[in-house]
Amino acid sequence: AIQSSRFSCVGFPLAYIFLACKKKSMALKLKSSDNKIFEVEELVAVQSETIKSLVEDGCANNVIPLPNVDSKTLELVLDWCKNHVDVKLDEEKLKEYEDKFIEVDLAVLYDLLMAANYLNIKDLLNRASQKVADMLKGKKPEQIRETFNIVNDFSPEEEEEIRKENLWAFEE
Amino acid sequence: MMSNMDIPILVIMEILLRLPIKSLVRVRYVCKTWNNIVSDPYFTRMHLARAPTASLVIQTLLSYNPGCYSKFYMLEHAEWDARGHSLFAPLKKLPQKFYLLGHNMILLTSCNGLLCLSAVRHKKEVTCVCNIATGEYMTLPGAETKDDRFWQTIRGFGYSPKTNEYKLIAELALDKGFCRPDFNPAPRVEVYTLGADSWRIIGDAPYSFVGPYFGTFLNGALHCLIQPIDTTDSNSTFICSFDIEKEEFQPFPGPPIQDLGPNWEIEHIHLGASGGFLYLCENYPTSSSVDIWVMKEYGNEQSWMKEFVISNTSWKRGPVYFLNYGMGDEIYALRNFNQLCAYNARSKCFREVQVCGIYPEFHAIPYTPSLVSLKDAVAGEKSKGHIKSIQSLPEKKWVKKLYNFLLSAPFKAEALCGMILPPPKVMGIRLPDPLLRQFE
Repeated sequence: AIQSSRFSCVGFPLAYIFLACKKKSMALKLKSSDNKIFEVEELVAVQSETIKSLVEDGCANNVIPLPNVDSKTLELVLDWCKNHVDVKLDEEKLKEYEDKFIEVDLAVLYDLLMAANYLNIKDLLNRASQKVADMLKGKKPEQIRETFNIVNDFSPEEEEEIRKENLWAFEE
Repeated sequence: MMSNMDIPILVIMEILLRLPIKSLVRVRYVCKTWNNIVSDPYFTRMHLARAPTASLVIQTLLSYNPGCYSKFYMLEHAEWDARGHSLFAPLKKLPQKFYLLGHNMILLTSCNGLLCLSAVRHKKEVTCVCNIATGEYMTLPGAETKDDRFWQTIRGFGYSPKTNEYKLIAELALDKGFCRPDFNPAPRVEVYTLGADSWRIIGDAPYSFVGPYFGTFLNGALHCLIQPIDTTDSNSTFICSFDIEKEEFQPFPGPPIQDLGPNWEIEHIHLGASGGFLYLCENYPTSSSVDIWVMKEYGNEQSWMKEFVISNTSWKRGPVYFLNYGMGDEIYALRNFNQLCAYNARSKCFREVQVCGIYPEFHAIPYTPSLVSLKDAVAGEKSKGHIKSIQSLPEKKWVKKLYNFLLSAPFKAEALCGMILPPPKVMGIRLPDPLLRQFE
């Protein structure tokens, strides 16, 4: 009992300082691959696990370079983060926002997917993956290759072999 | 732009994990990388874990000949989660040439996409385990007894994640015809580890099983409705769990339902699992509603809650299987193996759901399609030789022609064929209750 009270004595002022910092929410500077600087609140930026760990390690005092994300994508990603700061937001409104947000063309979707993966933003990665999965559903392999620009590296014999085993999946 | 090279494998996995089984099989042909991802047992397990919702395997029944001239379908959950629909057409033909497995096929139970069914092949009743999506199957050895007065009834199919073993449990009981009706000996319990050479008798069951239904698999154990062997025993336990890994029976806490009395009947309660929860359906003839209890925290007796009370008399008969509990307000259920319905938990509205495009009389069981390969599911290298492909089963040309003829005929003609052709001999096969009624 003594030990725990001692802890709470130390813990209380620490938590207070921590909360005070949070409230003020320091601004972070992010630099995109095309050298544009974005100034965002820390609360918004730390939804990215990658940035969060940088902040926690105290490496976020200067500009954080993000060499894998261009400014166009970063702007979108930060918009997503801003709308996901307040978790208590109306669920229906949030869903509406997400649905509208993800209605983008394939190139943008691809950039978003890669950025979400690099910045490690779970909910954005989930939403973008779901969107791509929805696009794959019901498509033939040829259509998928064409849409996503994937090279078929099967030999015709190999392809025929596996296709024969799973004819059912190709019936319309 | 989206070539294989620059998307990290983990992101591709994240995407493919969200696909329903049919699309998943299709994307295997896109390129070698994708094929390797999808064929990986780890991916298969992840995919299965993400899909707790059950789909259905449907077998149409022609009047007198259950299983004989029936056709099989699979209704994938992903295809019918569109809200508010009361008609589900997108029924696919069952992936493989299923009818080649034997005559008089009866769907029994399933676990992780592996379907257990019984069929008559070369005039002998056999039990098979197969995966519809991969087309693999294996035939199980017969019961571990020479005494033909004993009757083997499969009681459940489960999986032990720790040892990666699939096990079937069965009850060996003396046929009712050979004993006095009041004599009720303890049933023997047999276990079959998938891939083993034979069944193993593990001893007498501490309880007697109730009704013709299969144990419910959840959290590494099968859950069955039971009765004490000595009916004068006032012990109130009526659920037991069977640990798949340890092969042990344990009493399991049930909800505080009405006193069951010594001779309660199975029709009035039914145990199931959906979305990772155990539930119990209670429909007494004395009550005007169907009560559904859900165990909110596995193993905690206090956590049983009466979640729904459905006042609709059409739910009165047969067990109710929930297919997507916990996945939203719209809950789909399979009632009495032959009726799909939907219940909206928010508006408390209830509606019947039609499965169209098939012969209206059918028998369906819940099934979670997966790409779990039998080769990974069997224990031991040696037994992998027993696994065969349904695709490679010999197909006699005239059988195929007859089969296609019967199936291509309009439904009325289908039913007619069922009536003209003599009922098959069903000796030696224990039919599930709804099937038995076909013969009355």
